[in-house]
Amino acid sequence: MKRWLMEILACPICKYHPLELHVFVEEEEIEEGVIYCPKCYRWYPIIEAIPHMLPDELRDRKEDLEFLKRWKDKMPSEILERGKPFNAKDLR
Amino acid sequence: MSLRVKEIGDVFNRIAKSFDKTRRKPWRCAIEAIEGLTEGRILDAGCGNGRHLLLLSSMGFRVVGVDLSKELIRIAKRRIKEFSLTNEAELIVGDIRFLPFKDEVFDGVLAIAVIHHIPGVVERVRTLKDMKRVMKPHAKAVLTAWSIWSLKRLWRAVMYKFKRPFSSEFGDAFIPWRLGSDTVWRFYHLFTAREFRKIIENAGLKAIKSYGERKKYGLFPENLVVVAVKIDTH
Repeated sequence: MKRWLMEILACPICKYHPLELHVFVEEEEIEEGVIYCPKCYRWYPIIEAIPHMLPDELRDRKEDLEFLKRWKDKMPSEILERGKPFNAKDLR
Repeated sequence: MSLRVKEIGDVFNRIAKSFDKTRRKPWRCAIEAIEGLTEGRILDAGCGNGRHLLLLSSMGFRVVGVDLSKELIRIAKRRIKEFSLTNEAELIVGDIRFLPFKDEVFDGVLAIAVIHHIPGVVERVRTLKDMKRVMKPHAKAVLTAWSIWSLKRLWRAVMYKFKRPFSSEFGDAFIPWRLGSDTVWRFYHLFTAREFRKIIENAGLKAIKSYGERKKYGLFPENLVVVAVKIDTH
């Protein structure tokens, strides 16, 4: 994912813009990172340079929790504390 | 409803590889979305393996593809990289009923063979309204769907209705995809030309052209195409 995409992205659920971008791995493009909606607290993972922006009921809980675990140290504390639909509480 | 949509994502993940093999050539009608444009931003809603994405991004347009199937998105991403088009084309795993974009950002929209996978007329119109929301004023959308007018399809629609008389709309059908010795069933809502045009107009888009596009040599064209424009800004 290239950074220009952030100019047009909004939260798929509450349509809030601008969204926050936190980059974990960046090479030619953003390989791994997270997109966060400060309005409804939903977070969307960027995996293998592809953002996943699905509504709650279509998200892959297992994959999302693995992602949270993998990037726990770099994940903003706000997402870990109150991120939706999953956060650090679900990791326990 | 969402369960049915999830099934569609899962089905396309399963058939992604074989689907990709037979879905390489872009549709002629796709070009109508960029008629009169030399640059701009295009949304490919339900982009699948990215065949239109590839065409439009190689012409210099910035294209964003959204698809429910992770596997198809992965194939599209790989191809975009192969053709060194990562600056022009972006891919998102998403549900086109919930578009992740702010208002009025696209100069053109493609929804090729995708609206017919959404169950329920209310949901289809809501999706089209969201497409209209992300279009700039005067932007064009090219939408296609499967027509009900073939004996085989009509028969499948009748069987579907017969089995679920109270929980389906006429036109709903399961269409098979052969995967080796397996058969995978995909949900479709098959349209009449009038019905397809009507849901697009109900969403507030103005249909400026509608025609049939033929892929095989049946009595009637198998695909319905509507070119629509966003006139008002609400």
